Amino acid sequence: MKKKDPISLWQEDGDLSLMNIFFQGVGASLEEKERIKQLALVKLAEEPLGSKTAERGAMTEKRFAGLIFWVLGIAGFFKSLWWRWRWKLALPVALVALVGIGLGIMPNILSRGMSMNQPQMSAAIRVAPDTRGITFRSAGAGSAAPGGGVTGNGAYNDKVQPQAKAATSSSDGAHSNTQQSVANSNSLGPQNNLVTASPPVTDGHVERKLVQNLDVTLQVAQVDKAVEQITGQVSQLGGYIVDAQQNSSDSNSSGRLLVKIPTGRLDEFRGKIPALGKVLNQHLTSNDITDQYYDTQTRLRSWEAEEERYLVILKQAKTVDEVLKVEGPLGNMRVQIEQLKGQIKLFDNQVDFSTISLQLVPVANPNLKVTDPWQPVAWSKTWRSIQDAFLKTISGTWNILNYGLVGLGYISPYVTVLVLVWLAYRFWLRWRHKE
Amino acid sequence: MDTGLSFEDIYEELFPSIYRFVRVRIPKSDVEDVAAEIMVKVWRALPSFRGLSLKPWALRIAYHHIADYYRNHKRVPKVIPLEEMSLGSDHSEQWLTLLSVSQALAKLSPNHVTVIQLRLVEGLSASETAGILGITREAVDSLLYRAKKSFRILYQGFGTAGGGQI
Repeated sequence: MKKKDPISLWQEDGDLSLMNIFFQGVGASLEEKERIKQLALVKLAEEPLGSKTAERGAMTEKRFAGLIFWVLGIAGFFKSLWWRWRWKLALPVALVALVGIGLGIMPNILSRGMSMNQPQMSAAIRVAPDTRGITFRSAGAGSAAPGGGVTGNGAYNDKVQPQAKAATSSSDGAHSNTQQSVANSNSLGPQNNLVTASPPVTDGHVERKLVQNLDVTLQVAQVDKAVEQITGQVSQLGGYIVDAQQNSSDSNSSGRLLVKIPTGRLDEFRGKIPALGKVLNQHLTSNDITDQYYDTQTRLRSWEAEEERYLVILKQAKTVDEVLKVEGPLGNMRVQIEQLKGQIKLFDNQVDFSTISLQLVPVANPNLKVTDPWQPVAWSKTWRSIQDAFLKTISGTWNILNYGLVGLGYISPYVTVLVLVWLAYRFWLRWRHKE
Repeated sequence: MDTGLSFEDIYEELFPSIYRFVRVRIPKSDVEDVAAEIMVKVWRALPSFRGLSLKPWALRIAYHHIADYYRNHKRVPKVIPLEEMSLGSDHSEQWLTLLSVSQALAKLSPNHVTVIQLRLVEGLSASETAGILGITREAVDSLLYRAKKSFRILYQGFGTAGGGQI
């Protein structure tokens, strides 16, 4: 039914006149009217006179009472809220709890996001020195062409940057010096250590010292078989295995091999790799250690020359005192010489043997091996799981509740502000009312 | 606003409405006191009166004062049924009808009675009533509409359906 004017609705059944009659009957008698008037006049007369002075003094007292009244008012407000909404109150409470949970989780997400960013930042920072190191190396030692044979004198390639050229030309300048120092090494002291080393020239070009590393990822039919084959080939080529690792599980197995192969036969080995399986990834790097190598060698030679000189002096020594005086420095020299020899040996090994790292992964096998198909869970474990599940639900519920409470903590500043604003509004209303 | 009216004038003009309003809401023992307080309040607030019609404004004061009364006495506002009232006339037939009306009103919600009284008896407009109750005009209309429905049911429930013939 369409709503019509409520007044005309009330006219139906004579209800409107009924109301008018009723409320007229409610009217006051003349005596009553007069009594109330006198009462009002009395109130009018006593309040402004009696209270104006007393009011000032009572003001603070009143305010304090007012404060208590407001506190009671808030309690009353919540009480009336409850009476008004009853169970529907659960809805906003749940909303608040949800917001609380959301707020409770938010800081977590934020902090996680921050910590996610930080490693990236530091990684980016870390990259910078690395690249600098690389450019430095390529500038100092010329271009280390990957796989570039020992044939070309890499540093004198067309690709060489001007910077590198400058470096090589300066080392050329130093080179003649060293030639000299090597020639006169008999009469030179240890101070010629300062002379920069430079590679000896054979037929106008330098023999470059390159450390070669090869990384290969191979997909093979059977990992253990491939490992066997590789082991055989390595020993056949005169190499050796540094590290071998093999995992096997029902559905997946893998292997890792670290082998050393004589550098001269590296290409031969590389040629044989495709026969073992599918090459998924291959990465060859060459590290040019020419500068370090010849520097070490020059230092060794000069120390050896020094040692020879001291030996000559030792032969001429006559008193024990003189012998001891010469023996002291000689001991130091021998330690240095041994260290440098070891270094050169290490370099030689690195140059003579290339490091190959092989990662073996199996071909994905469509026919999965099913092992141990019958694995029933014991009753005792089921019972334990039931217990654990029960506890987990309880603790989970508590945790959610906890989130809610923490969330309440988060929103409490807002609630406080709202309550304060509300109180201020109430105060203002009351104050205006009093005015 | 200086109305130039004396307390006497104001009293004569507003007393009937105020009294009716108070009478059905406040227990008999307090009626005179509360009515007098409201009149004093109205008189005091008169200088700050801005508007055209005094009656809605005075009734608003009365409405709030009664709300304060109930709040201070920690009681739920209610409409006082006839048992506590003494109606002037004792024509038995009319008296019985009015008794039924009173009982029906006492069963209605206080808001419904207020809307009935303001709109139907005091003749306030819907927006004036809305202003006093702090609700919208549409809400006033729908309250009045629902009050009618409820009143009819309650009134007939007292077995005096024929009371409407008066």
